[in-house]
Amino acid sequence: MKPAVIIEDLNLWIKNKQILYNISLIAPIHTITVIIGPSGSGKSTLLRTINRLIELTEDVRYTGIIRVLGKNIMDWDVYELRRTAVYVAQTPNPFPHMTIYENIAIGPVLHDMVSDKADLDRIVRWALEKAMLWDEVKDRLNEKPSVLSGGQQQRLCIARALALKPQILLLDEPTANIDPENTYRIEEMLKELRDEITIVLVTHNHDQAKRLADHLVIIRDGRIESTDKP
Amino acid sequence: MSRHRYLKDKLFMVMVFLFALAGVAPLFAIISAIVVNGVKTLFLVGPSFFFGLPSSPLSNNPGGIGPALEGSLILMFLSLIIGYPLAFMTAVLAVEFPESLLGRFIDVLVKSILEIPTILIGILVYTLVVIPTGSFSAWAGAIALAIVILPYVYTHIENALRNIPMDIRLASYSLGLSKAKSVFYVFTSEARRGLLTAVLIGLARASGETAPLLFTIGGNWFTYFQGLSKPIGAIPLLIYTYTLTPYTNYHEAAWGASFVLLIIYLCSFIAFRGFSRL
Repeated sequence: MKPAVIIEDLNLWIKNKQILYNISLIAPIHTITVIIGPSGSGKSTLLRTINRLIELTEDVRYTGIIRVLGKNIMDWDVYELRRTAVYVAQTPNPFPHMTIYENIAIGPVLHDMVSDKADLDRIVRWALEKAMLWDEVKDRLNEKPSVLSGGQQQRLCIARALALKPQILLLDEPTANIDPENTYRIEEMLKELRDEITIVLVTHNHDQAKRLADHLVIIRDGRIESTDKP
Repeated sequence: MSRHRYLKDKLFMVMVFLFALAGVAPLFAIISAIVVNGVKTLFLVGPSFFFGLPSSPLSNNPGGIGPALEGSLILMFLSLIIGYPLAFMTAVLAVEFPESLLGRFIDVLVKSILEIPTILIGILVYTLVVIPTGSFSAWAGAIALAIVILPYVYTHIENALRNIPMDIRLASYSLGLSKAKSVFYVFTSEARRGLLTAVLIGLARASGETAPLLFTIGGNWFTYFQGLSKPIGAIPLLIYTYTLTPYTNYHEAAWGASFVLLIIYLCSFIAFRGFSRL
């Protein structure tokens, strides 16, 4: 199966402390690759390295090669890379001063992906439907995201990412601190999305990993402990 | 609690109260003097105080402060137009590129303007603008005021940008937005309360400054706005000029002008407090 992400011999240091050791893995296209491991094992760091968000951290350096859709991440335009492989954080982080609609619309608008308002409306609706949130917010699009529950806010953040039509979705423990019903909805959404988008998901929940993973990577203390080869 | 401790506690509280009172007493004295004398002038002259021209020195009427009031408003607006974008861009540089040598240099430079006596800024602008153009002007005053308000506005914008939560920054960058787009479309939206506060702080500072205007605007009290390259009036400079004269009616006009200045300042302050609590 064609790989969406290839990581070869990645070593990463933050403030001269090594966080990741000789990481090599492949995330096949249109699958869910689950990276599982205990807290502090370097899962989130690994995820953020794929689209170079880790470079926002001070004093970070890394060696090794990461290819996204066949191209070395250092050869990508960094903003295009982050739009192609969108990261969704563990804690829901909608823009609090924007409305629910604006939260979804800001990405497509600023990336010049829409031709007119009707086009934008279509993308916003499509993203919210994909995130299984449309029915819950269709009458509240002009309200602030603070009116939503934690689980709804997380789905809003996923919808915001989907509105960019990314090819890869990097999800950092998207169901942590979320109630079982919202967890179920997010998992169902991810299963549906996998036919269109490659998903790399970080979790420390073994049951969730079993439910979702097409390809499982276990990481401990910054090292890959085991991986089932895709 | 023993009686001794109780008395010591009470004594401490009384001392705190008295020192606090001593601290605010001068402020109350200044404000009450301005209000009492200023209102007296306003009653004496009526609404024409705001729009009229100054009277002759030995007249019984304090006259109006129309050109000075108009000049002050123009200078406040112009200085903000010049100073705010400068402060905004330097704050963005300092916050978004903290590692850059230029960012750190500008941060130190702008904050050091706070320590410079404002009259020196007036002399600098006199040398750089007034002498080469051959005339006092609204432009020269606005440039001087823009330099004066720069560090105050900068500090508020910088704080507003620094206080944007890391998860909002992360959200913006994870959508593939560039630094410029993140700053202008996301961070300014999140920090708008602080950015508006900076506007009000700038207006308040610009409304009350006298020293930078001594060498720059020429103090035109008798004609309304004639152009940006012509001399212009301003309330603080009018107060300073009038109080140096021996004429009673000019002293009364200075009290009235002080009251108007106080109102402008208080309006800015109340708006500032309002925005802070939004």
